[in-house]
Amino acid sequence: MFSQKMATIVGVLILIVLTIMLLTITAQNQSHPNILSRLAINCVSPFQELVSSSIRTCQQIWRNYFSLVAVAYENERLRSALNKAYELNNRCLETQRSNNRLREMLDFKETNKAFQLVAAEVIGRDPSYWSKTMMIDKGSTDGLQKGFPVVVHRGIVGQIINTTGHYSKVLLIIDQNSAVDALLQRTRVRGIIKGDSAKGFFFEYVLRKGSVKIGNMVISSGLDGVYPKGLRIGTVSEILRSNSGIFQEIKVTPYVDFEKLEEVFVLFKPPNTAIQKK
Amino acid sequence: MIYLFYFGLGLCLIIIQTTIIPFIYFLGQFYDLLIPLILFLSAHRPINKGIPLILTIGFVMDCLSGGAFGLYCITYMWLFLIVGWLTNIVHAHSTILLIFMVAVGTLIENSFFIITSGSASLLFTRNVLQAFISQAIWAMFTGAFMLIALENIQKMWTRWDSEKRNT
Repeated sequence: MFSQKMATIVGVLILIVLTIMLLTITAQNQSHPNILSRLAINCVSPFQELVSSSIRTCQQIWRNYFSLVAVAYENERLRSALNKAYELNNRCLETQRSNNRLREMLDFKETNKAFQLVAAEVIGRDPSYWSKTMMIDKGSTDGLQKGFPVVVHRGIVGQIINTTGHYSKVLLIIDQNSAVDALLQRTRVRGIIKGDSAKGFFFEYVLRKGSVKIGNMVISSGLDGVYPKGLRIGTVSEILRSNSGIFQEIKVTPYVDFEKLEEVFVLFKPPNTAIQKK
Repeated sequence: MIYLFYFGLGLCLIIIQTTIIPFIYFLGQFYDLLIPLILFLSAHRPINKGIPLILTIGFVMDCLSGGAFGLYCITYMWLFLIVGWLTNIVHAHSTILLIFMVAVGTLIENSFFIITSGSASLLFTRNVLQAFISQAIWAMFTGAFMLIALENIQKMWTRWDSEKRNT
């Protein structure tokens, strides 16, 4: 009844429809790992861990044994930086004490102290240009769960989107599906930080009247329920104010170098810790 | 047995591209190393045996990636079908064609990713165009070598298999 050409066309059309249906369904129901995907991650990740740790060992050998000259210079530079840091630390301690006094006077809650840190190593990255994720070597057995924020000392890295027993997948904040409620440290102007698939972010929904200058620091506002307040995100690098529209277009350069991440910290609240009101 | 070998090779390529390639910063935006393998399988293996293998490899990639689940499976499947169809029309073993085949495969994969991301405006940004060009250039320079290496492995395997049967 049907010619072979007709059957091929119908087959291709059915495949296209199935493709669209499958992608629509899976795009809406992400991060629900089934047994098979857990199995796949648990089979591949140990090898990723092995290769990553081998590379790191080689890097360390190179750094330790072949870069001693550079280390001597760096040591001198770090000593001077340390002296400056001591001085800064002293000033920070003073500021913290006065801050605590003022907080007590205002009856504020100490929120960030309730968080615990779990150190993890990066064992693999997403090779695709379009999604920015990475695998870390800590999982649900270490107490990690979906939605926990991941940070480094320089600032926010991302959040956990998927965990298995010993491994977790982290969605980086430079991913285009990622968003962080943020504010400018100087002027407290609020907006949403969104990844743009490259190495930076866009600071969106900032009103035109909001005062923004290049070099301003962007920090998390704590209002998204994922990232605690005050974590560093990046600095404003470009501002575009169009004649029409109610928002400004702001580009932000991240503090974190996402290409060179090796170790990260996962922040989480221990279940039994109740925030004490002073 | 040969399919188990290709599956193992696919896993090795997945591990290389998720661990070693990101450490080599000068490579910039490198293309998906599994594309040459898929193109090779598409040109040399029948659909009924090639597709399950491709889907398994795609499934592993989907588990490790942060995109929509099934994106790699579907992209690899379509790549397999499109290139399989193309090899019926043109001569798949021509060197010039090999050079362009991996680059075209990379472009097809990226187009799929853009379509599924749902924002066509992405296509016209500088970073995306840079990534496209970088991946295509790397694919042209190295992809053909990978395809030639795969063909040699295939020949060695066939020779070894026939010797084993004769003895």
